Amino acid sequence: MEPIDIEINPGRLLYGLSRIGYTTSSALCDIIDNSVRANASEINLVVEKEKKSFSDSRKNNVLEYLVIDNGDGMDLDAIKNCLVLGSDSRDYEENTLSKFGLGLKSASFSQGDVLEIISSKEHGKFNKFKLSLPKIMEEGSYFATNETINETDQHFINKYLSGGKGTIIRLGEIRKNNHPSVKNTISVLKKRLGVIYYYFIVEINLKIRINDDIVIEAFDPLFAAEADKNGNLNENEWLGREVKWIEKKQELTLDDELGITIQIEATQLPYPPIFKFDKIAGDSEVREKYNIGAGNYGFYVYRNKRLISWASLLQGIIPYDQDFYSFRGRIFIEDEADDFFNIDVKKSTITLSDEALNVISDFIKEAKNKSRRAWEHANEVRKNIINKEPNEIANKIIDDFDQIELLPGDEILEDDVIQGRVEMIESDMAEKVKLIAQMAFEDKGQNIDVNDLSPEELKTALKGGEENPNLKKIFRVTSVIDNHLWEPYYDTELGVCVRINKIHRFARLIYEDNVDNNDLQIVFDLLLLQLAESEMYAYKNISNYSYEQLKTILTEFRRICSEFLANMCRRLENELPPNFSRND
Amino acid sequence: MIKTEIGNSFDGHNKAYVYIWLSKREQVVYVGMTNSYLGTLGRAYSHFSRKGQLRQRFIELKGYYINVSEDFTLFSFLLPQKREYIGVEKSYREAVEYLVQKRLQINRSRVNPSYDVISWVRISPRTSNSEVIRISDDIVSKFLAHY
Repeated sequence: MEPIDIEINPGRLLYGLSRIGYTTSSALCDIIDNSVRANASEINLVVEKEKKSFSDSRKNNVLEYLVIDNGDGMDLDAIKNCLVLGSDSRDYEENTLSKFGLGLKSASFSQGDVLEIISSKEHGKFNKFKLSLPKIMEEGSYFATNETINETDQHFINKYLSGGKGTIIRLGEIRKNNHPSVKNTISVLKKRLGVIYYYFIVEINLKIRINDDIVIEAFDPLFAAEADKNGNLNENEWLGREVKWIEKKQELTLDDELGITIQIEATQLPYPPIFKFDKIAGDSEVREKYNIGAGNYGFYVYRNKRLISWASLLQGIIPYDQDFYSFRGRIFIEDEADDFFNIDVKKSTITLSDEALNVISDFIKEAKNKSRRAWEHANEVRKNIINKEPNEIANKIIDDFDQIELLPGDEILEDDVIQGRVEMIESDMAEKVKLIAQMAFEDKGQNIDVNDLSPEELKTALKGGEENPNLKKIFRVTSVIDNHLWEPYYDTELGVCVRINKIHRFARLIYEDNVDNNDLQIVFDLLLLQLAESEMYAYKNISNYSYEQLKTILTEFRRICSEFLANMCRRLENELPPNFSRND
Repeated sequence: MIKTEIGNSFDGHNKAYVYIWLSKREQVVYVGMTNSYLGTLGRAYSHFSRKGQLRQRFIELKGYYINVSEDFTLFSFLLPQKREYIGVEKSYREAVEYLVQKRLQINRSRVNPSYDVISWVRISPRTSNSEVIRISDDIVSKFLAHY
């Protein structure tokens, strides 16, 4: 068959390429990547403002960006080659990303209308070429112009490239269409570059500076050094304060026959809300330090030690869910794994092959569960700290309160009848406290012989393991006999107390779902104490029924009430406060 | 002819179960729990109905509909007949269900053919309870022994 030539419109092609979704920082990162590829040991980014007196926070005030590196540099032919659309990738070295020969052009024109390249391979023989997008569109042909080195160019050469070799990339005529402020771009780049070139900065001492005075520091998104110090994550005990290992570095085989392997590791970063208790805005400080937030959790994929994918959720392997904000994974791949990790032109997203997806998904399933569970556990710890305050207030309010001894209309019982009832209560409670202690230890995963416990240990178990002297009457505990919402307890030392099952669904509605509503919690604690007091009152003062009859009726009442409340929570989950007010 | 045997798993009065649906051919496992008075067979109705969770999860994973008559098997495990396990308040049952699912995920490659656990893992605050752990371990070891 006879091939036919088909025309291309270079202007429109370039224009299209420049709009594939670069942000200012990602475009600059892409250009800096070329410098790293050219073996630069020093890279300087210069951001020139249009109106120098205006604040760095002002939008649409960038005149031009210059990326200057002391790398290998290019001679005349090499510059021409690099300007080709789809430039030759025969120099595609081990550490390169420029698979497509489009990066420089598309990244540059995504920000401005002019791209200039000034470069020398040796002895200060600098050549300069200029590409102008409007002119290419106007002429309908793809061309560059050979320019003379001007005074400004020479200033930058003298200042940064005194060794006589290296490259300057100038992005000029920056578009003033909602272009980000200098401050914003620098702030993003500081973290991005530190992560992208982490291994280059740490291992080969790569220096990247912005406007001379900002030096990019290596930023390990996994904080592996801290995890090394703190050890492995125990998701059921983690208090949210330290970086821990979820999975230490392991090798996974993607294809046995081809011998394709990757390395994978994961850490759990701290849980920011827990730091609110240390100081005002303590949580924000931790978020800032560890870069915790939407868009930063997931996997950081490094190819030949350079980041190729930032916080990828790997096609849903990591769910889009706040509970994973502390999850940080890292995958190391080599060139051979490229077919399993398809990278897009702007190098910001990867698409996993089915094999890679399955292997990684299987491997990470348990790590994911651990991370979520750890996050939830830290949240429970936070809630317990918050809840402690209303629980203490409720106890304090009731501390000096004496309940009415005899209600109007109730008979005064004979002393010996009252005494008999009290003895029965005390006998029941003495038995009950052993069962309570056994359950409390079971909740912690311990099986003990309750007969070995001292009276103090029994009392501590009764109070839910809390040694807090401010808790005297109302105890929030992890288990109550028969899983009721509450149960009364009485002894001569403590008087009438209430043990509230804080894991009962209704208690969780009050203590967890409405964690910010302290008043509700205090009133709830006080209500249940009064219900417990009422029960004890009935045992002591109602003579129409026997003690056993009363016990059966009141226990059944508590059971039914607890179950009805659990059922209500189950059925009306989305209608109950605080969801009720949110639904409005 | 399809032979279906109805045993104790039908009886849910004052009982609660953790159950495991297994299809070796499809290599899937689904874990659930119930205190329904219709038992685990009664619960099966809603799982396999059009919007049932088992059916939905199966389609999500496999991309095609379940053919129930092929080789789905139901394993039912009676939980202790204590208020904690049979009540409406389900934190103890959920904890067992969670641990069983978790342990089945971990042990999936110990059996042949291996399986995917397609049920949702619901975290429960009671998973550290020693009785809950003991019951869960027992269920998983029995299930794997009969696999």
